[in-house]
Amino acid sequence: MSATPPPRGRLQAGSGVALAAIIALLALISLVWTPHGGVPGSATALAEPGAAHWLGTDQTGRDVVSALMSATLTSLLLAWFATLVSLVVGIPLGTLLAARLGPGATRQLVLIGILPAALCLGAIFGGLRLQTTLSVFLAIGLPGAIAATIGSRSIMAPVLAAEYVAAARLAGLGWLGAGQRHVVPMVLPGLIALGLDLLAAALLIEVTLSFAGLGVDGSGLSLGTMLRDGQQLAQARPLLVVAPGAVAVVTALALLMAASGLRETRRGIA
Amino acid sequence: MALLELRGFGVGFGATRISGIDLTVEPASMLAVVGRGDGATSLLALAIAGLLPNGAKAEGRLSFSGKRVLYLDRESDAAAVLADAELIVADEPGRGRDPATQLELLTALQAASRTAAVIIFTADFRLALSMGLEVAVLANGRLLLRAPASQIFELPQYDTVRHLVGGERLRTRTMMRPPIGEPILEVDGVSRTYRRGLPRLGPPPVEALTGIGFAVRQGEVVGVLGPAAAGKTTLLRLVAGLDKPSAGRIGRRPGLVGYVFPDPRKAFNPTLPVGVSLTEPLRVEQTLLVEEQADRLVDAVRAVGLAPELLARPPGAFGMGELQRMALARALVGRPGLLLLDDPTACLDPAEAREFLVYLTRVRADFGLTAIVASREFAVVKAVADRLLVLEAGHIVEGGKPGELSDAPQQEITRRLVSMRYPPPVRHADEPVKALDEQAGLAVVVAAAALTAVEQLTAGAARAEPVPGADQVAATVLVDAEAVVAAPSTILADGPTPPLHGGGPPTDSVAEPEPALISEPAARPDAEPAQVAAPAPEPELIPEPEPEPTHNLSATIVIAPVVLAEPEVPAPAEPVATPEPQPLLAEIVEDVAAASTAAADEPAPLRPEGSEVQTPPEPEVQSSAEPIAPPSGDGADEAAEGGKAQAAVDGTVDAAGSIDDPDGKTAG
Repeated sequence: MSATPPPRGRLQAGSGVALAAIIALLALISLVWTPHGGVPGSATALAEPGAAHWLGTDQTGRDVVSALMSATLTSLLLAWFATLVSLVVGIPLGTLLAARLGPGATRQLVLIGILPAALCLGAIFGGLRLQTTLSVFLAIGLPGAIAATIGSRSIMAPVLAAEYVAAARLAGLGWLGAGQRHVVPMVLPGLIALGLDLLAAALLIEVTLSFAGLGVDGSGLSLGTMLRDGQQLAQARPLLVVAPGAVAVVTALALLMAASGLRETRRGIA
Repeated sequence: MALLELRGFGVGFGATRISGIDLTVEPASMLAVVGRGDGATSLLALAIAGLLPNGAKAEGRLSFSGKRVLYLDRESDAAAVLADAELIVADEPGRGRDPATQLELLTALQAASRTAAVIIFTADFRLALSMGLEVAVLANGRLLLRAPASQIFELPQYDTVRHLVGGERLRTRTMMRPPIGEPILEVDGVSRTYRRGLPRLGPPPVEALTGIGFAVRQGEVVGVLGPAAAGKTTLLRLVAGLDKPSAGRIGRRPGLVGYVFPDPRKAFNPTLPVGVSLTEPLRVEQTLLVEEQADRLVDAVRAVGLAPELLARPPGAFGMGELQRMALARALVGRPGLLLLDDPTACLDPAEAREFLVYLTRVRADFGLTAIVASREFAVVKAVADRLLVLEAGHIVEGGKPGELSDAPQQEITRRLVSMRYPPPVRHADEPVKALDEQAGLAVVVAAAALTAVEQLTAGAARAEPVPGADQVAATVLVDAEAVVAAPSTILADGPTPPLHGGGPPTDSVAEPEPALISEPAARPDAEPAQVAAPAPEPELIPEPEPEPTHNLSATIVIAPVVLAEPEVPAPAEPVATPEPQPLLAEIVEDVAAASTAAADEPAPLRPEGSEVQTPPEPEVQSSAEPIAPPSGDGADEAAEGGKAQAAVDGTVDAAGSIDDPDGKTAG
């Protein structure tokens, strides 16, 4: 009943956002600076971690920290744009469905459910010999758009049907005014949480597809390709697998935590 | 040994807190815990059932010596009442269900109380009263008193008790209604069907409304009476333009429509102060100056009896009753041409519902409203509407004036809705009042408090099994129609000696003509006697220092404790449990001014002159340990109300304009 959100949700959302922001910042810094440039052959191959190379170097003589920063940026950008497209397509569709048909049967979308669909699509697009980055983009974006449609419908429907919205419409504000005053502020946190969920899913899909060789093409550097390349040397240099895997998992978890915290703050507010 | 014992028990959950509860419940007994609909009763019910939610903190002692507790919530029906429980905790049993289901459930509970202890938690005092239960009143988190329901009428020293008791009947009075004019709404052959699933592939569409046609004229209030899912909400949404009809035409004069939703909590954006929501209807009127807007806002809020300062609060800070009145204020701010109220009392407890209807009646006069009021409760629509439509399964099955429908319902559904009551079937004071109406040829302004008293008598009569120790005595209620028409009018009831308090101030405090007393039933052969029995009231009487709490009171009752010299009473027309009939004289004086001007004098038994009666000894006045609560914040309003009512009575003989609920059948 209370309008003040429980502090736990805020803390959770704050920590999630902060963690994801630090990772994104490090990834962005790679555009202007990395510890060692991250160019293959710039150092001894497979150097041990130490003062010079904090996480050592890979088989091409690339500094792992520098490579991680660039790879994270690639992965995040891919996931970001695919998610953006998903939301741009999905939210209007979901709103339309909510307005026409009311709430759907699915209250909570299990985002992990879009993974298999995305992998199948990635395989199909790979078979069609689409440009690999485009194929990853589509493989994430298409199921993502469907997920965004279903998710935003379930967020929009109760608010669109809310009696305070009806009251505002009757007060002469019409749909536009009522939407501005009541609907948008009410659904925005939910939609942002949906976007964060989708972003986390997209990141994991990119990593999985690239790892399977269906994603970012051979020369490109993403968290998925780093995992793929490092796997051959996993026995000797486990860090080459652990480091990109950990970055991917931590980033996804941070995003999911932010989303869940954001939802927590809205609990009890219809 | 007691089955359930609470000693200094308390529990807190969120903002709800109860403490210092001492309660003993014996096996095979029945008790009603009555409180405001604010969650405290539910919390106690959960605590006793051992179902406290996480985060609830309990203190004190609660011991239950049985094995099995059965907990019933408002969704439970009679099938849920199991025989093997030793304690049955029923929270608002059947509330909001249709009357038949509720009746079945309550009857089952009554039957179960032969073997099990049954505790009913409710905000509806009438339930306890008509079932003749023992009542424990829970107010401000404490148990105030425990007494048979019928006695609580006689102990009005507790503010909350009076509030609960007052919520027992819905009663309002229309004042200076605007003249009824041209039709402003015409609904013609309107149907609304809802498709389920895909066209042609899914199940057949649902017809929510079929061939609805009616008109509403300027200044008229039309009531839509119907059970749950009859199509009331669909109809109002169509009229408001929130939905489009599948067929038919709705012609409405252009202008704003005010709408009051059933649940005020859902009708306000929970994140905004209510004041922000209330200004919305003003935004369309760009021409209004800021000062005018503020004036309109303040006018509307004051009209529903709330302070403008409350506008800064979020909806969560309001009680349901206040918030619903805020919703009414919002509907009024834009000066709507048509006001639609969708089951506005559905979420309110009986006292809040009564307040809401009082304010609704008042703003109707002040704002000259045209309105449609939908409700599943006859008492609600009857209290405010000029004309009713009965809606069943999407069809209008019947229509007419409230009185016509209650007197001669043509349809089964109407009969059911009109006569909704609790078990056991209680003999109400309908008959004398109706006789009074007929004989007078007018709908007479009947003293509200008199009805309370009469009903109190009848409630006692209807108690199926006399409470051991409580004397059952017969009483005769006599109604003299002529005497009523000529104010001051009189209802006579012969009964036991100790004084009953009808809630009104004693006439001694007001300069009014001596009431015409009729002490000998035989002396009035033209009067229609109705026989009822009354329980013997407790010998102690607590003075009633405040004016009658009822809003817009149109008359006052004084029940004079008089013993007839010869305790002869005509044989009761209906057999009632009457061990030793004793006469009681109850008298009603139609006295409007008393409501507003009565001083808080000590009540003294009325000693009528010239009647062949003896007065009983002065009742022992109990100096209550409980401080008498100050008059509620509405006191001034009530006084004003009384004054208005007086003006209405003095100015016109518009007795037909009075709306009361003599049947006292339904509320809340």
